[in-house]
Order: sequence, then C-alpha cells, then structure tokens
Amino acid sequence: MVTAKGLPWILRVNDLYVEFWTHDGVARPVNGLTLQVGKGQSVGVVGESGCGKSVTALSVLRILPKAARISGGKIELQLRDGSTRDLTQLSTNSNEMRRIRGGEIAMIFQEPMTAFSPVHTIGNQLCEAILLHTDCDEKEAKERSVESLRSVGIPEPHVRIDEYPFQFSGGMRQRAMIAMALVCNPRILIADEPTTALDVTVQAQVLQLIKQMQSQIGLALYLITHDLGVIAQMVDYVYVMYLGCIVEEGGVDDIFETPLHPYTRDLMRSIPTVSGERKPLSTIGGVVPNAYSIPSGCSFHTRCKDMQGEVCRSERPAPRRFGESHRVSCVLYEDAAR
Amino acid sequence: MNTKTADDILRVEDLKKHYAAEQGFFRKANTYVKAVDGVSFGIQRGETFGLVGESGCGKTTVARLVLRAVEPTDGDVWFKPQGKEAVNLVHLRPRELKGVRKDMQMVFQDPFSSLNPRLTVFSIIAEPLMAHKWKANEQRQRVAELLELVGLSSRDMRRYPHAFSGGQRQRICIARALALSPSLVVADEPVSALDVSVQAQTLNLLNELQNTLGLTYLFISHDLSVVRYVCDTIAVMYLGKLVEQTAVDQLFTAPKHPYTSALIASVPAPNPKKKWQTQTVRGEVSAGGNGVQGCDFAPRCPYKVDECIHKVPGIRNLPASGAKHEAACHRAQELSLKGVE
Repeated sequence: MVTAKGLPWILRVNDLYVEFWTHDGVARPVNGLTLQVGKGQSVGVVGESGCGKSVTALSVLRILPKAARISGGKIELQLRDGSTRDLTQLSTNSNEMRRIRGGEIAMIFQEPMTAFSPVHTIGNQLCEAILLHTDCDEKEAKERSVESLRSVGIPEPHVRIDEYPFQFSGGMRQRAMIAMALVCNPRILIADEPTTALDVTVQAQVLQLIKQMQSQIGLALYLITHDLGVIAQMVDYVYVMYLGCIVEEGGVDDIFETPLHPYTRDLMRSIPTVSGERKPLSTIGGVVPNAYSIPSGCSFHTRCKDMQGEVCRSERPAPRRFGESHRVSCVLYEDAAR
Repeated sequence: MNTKTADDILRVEDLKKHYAAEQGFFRKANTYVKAVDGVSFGIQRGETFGLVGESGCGKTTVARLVLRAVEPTDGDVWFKPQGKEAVNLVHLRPRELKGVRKDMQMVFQDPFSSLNPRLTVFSIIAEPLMAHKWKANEQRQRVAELLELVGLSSRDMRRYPHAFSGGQRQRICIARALALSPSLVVADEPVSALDVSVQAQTLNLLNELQNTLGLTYLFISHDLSVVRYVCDTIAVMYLGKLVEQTAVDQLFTAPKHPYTSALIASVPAPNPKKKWQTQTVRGEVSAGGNGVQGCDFAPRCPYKVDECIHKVPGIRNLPASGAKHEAACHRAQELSLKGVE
C-alpha cells in the first residue's frame, strides 16, 4: 500500500480511538482517525486546540497520560528492517517502544522551555539520548552532541553545550530541541506546534532549518499546527482535523485552492492575513463542542452553515474521493469513483 | 514628537524603563538593561493602537508602564478618561491611581501565570466585580454573560483553570478584563493563544465592543496579520525604541524601516503558491541594547552602512508619504522597501 503521493508509507494510523477517563466522564479526543505518513513525506495536521491533533501524536509515541486509553484502531509503523509493528500492541515502557521513541520517531514540542529539564545542561540532555540509543561512550556522545548543535546552526556549540536551557534564547532552545530530536537519526519527526512560541523572524529561520534537515536526511515530517500559513509553506499533504477525526485531506494545493469541507472553507475565511482587506472576519458560529459530548453524525453539523438536515445529524459521513488525492467527509459531495 | 491632540486618551512622552543589571551588596548598578528607552506616542479616543515587535523588545513593559504596574524610570503618561481631566499617571499617589485604574484594564500575555490556579473561573472573573461591590446574583449573571461572550460555557464557572486549555484560559482572562467595561483596554497578545476560528470571533468581538462601548485599545502583538486586521495606527518596536509609526495601510504597503519590512516578509502566507522569504534578517535580537553605539538593528540589517554603526538614528518625519509617518532609520528616505503586494 502506498500513500496518496505514491510514496511507500512509514506510519499508518488506522481508525484510532482514544478515550480519557476523568471525573467528569469519558472524553473522546480521537474518534476514528485515519492518516498516513509516507517515507520522507511532509504531512501537516491542522486543527484547532482540542481537536485531538496532539493526542494523536502522543498516542503514536505511546506517551499518553495515565487517564488515557487507546480504545480501538491500529498504529502501524514500518521499522528500519522492513518489518511492521502495531504500536498499540506494545507496552508503553517496553524496551522496543523505548527504542522506537527517538530511534524511529522523534518529537519536538511547542514549548522548548518546558520540554527541557531546567537543571541539566543542554549537553547532558543530548548525551543522555545518544547513550540510550547507541553504544557510544561518553566522549563520543559529547562529540556527537557538539556536532548536532553545530548542524542546527548554534554558534560556538562546544561552549553552548555546557550551558543550561535558560541561557538559550527561545529560537536557540528550539534549535537545540531539533538537534536533540535528530541526534539518533529517527525516520519520522513529529513537530507539535514547533514555532508557535517563537517570533516571526525566528519562526522563519527555525522552519527553514526543519525543512533543510528533512531534505538532508530524508526524514518524514509530521507537522501539527493551527497556523494555516505554516502549513501552506511547509508540507505537501494536509489533513484537516475536527473533533478527533479527519474531515478533509489532500495535497496542499488542493486544500488551499479548493477547500471542500464546510469547516475547511470557514477556517480559510476566518484568518486575517497581512495582505487582506479589513472587513469583518468570517467566523464559525458557536464553539468547538467539548470532547465529552461529541455531536452525533457529522461532528461539525452543530456549527455547519450548509447543514443538510437529518442525514448530517444521524449519519457519520464516509470519506469521499474528489480528484486524485483529495478526500472529504461531507454529504455535500458525491464520491468521484462511484 | 506627537502634536498634542485634544482627543488623545493616552499620551506617552519619552517613557523610559531601565533595569539595573548589576546590583550587588553595597555595589552601585553600573550597567542597565534599557527595556524601554524613550518611547513616545499618542492614542486617540476610540482607535486601536498597535504596538508590534518581537519578544524582548519591550512592548509588554510599555503596557505595564502605561498602567503603572511598574514604575517608569523617566517620562510621562497622560491619561484622559471620558469627561475627566487628563492626569499624569506617573505622579499619582496610590489612592488616586486606584480610582483611575477602573478605566483601564489589561489582558495579559500568559494565560498560565495570570490565572490563580486555586480560584474557580467564577472567582477569577468576579474578582473585579467584588472589588467594586457588585451584588452576588448580579456577579453570577455578569460572569455567565462574559463567559458566553468569550466563547466558553456558563457551566464552566465552577471549574478551575487547570481544566482548560491554554486557549480557553486566555478567554477567561479576556472576560476578566472586560468585566468592568473599561474605556482603555491594554491587550497584551490577547489572541495569540486562541484558535483560528475563535481568534476571528474574538477579534470581531473586540471590534464590536469598541464600536458599541467606545473602547480604546492599546493592542500589543507580534502577529502582523492580526495587527493589520484590528489596528488603526501601528508602532513598531525594536529593543526598547520605536523604529516606525504610522497608519496601518501605510505601514504595510510602504514600510520605511528595514526591520518592519523584514517582519512583514517573515509571515508565512496561507497560500502554497506564494514564495516565502525565510532569510529576511540574520540572527536573533541581541540582549538589552547595551553598549551599541549606532542603530540597534544594524547587526541584523541587510542595508547597513557605516553611519548606522556609529550614529543612533533619531525618529524622523517622512513628509513625502502623505499621512504621518515616522521612522528611525538613516536611510529611510532612500531605501525603497517591500511591503505587502
């Protein structure tokens, strides 16, 4: 099986369900989510906060909080040796899962300050990852750490390596984070809002760096963001997520030129742009329903401007093909294959 | 610099805040971090004045100085509430200040540290109401109303901040600031933590509130697309100084300072066909602006000449551009910089 772009897949999430058992009831942040990441492909997942985009990423790495449980579906990962593992079947702290984290899939987080330990030096934290995943000795590990910091454009890496995270600026910290993620040569990089906390000029630099590293080592990028600008500039293939499922997917040009799903269309219209006119922004009515009470049928029907009546309320729309790689889950469209 | 307009609700003159960087036991401070270094601007009643810049440029400090949440080192802040005399906030005594502060509220930047984790959402939003002796049932009604207004549910009243995402927390902060219907709202990155669809709602809401209640905003943001959308006048800050100030359209179509131009170019366009310039400026903001002889932006500036390294550029008026347009750049007249197309 290949991805829409003809690349062999490396990560495949199939009909995933995640539940959180809390005092308030059961929250379902991920509801039958299906997505694929091709080898060396850059894939973007865009959605609002609470739509489950981060939870999906955490499920892939099996680092969900204790209250959470994967209640259905598969997360298949193609390992380096060609074999396939279903990550949902592995125990969270098994040796194999530990090897996969960092070794096969690495992740960078939104807040570089909270993702680093404040009481260990940057070098310490980089070396830890290397020592865990390879059989280097400490001296080699340190050399590799310096090298990795240099590769992400940190000046004087041999000096900076003995500094603590608070001595780094935001952009430098995120660069160090990228260095740490890539130090064990993973094949997939999950970037969860990697530049949301950064300034625009620095954001441009960091995203450029991610792109550059990606093409250098043939890394697959799984980018999670709410910023449509970042998505447009960074990825080839886009998944639009709403309340735990994918409502639309397609090549980046398709999504931006002919957004089909009412949610995607509204989203595109609601963003202010630097070149845009100053007319009132189009908004999406209401609020995102919370994950405790996901609406029946199409989960967007409560806010949809093109609601078709009963069918939207009761039936969950199946993905419909629209053109070559464009799929949309909405009853407004006929499946092109039919 | 600013001509005194009768209709200015807020006028800031040569505002400075210097923090002592080296202060030890019996040791006199000898170096200063100039967080805000001679900032002047005026905000007209009913307008949205945008203050843009990257983190560390001092825009938040300006916000706090304006509310006198921190004491300025030097300068004046004239505040003129509707139908009242203008007062210089810098010279007010604490009791007088308390009265004035009813008219100015703030939305803070970080929703994680600006909400007390031990208070329920109700207590948080009702706190200003309690301080002004609202009745209990009115408080409850107002809080419910505010929660709906900012995109939360009135049921959330009894929950604690930890149960909310960053975006939702920021909405609680906005509700708290709007509780007393102030005339000047200092909004420090009010929407940067909100979702796109909710951000649009919030921006529209801020605009609506401005129209109905006659609010004035000092809107601080790093997000140029948001600033473009809400602001009437924009001032761009870099390392404690204003580098450019003009009307919104003028700034975006014909920027006069290389830094402004770089900021505009760095924003990724939500259009995959549009080429994104990622190499607009080198490096990051240097710390504190100490010991730099010339223009603070010179180390990163692609257009720098010798003069920029040796001489501090003053704010100059650019009369050619029609509307009032000020920029602090030696080469402001000769450079033709790119704005948005």
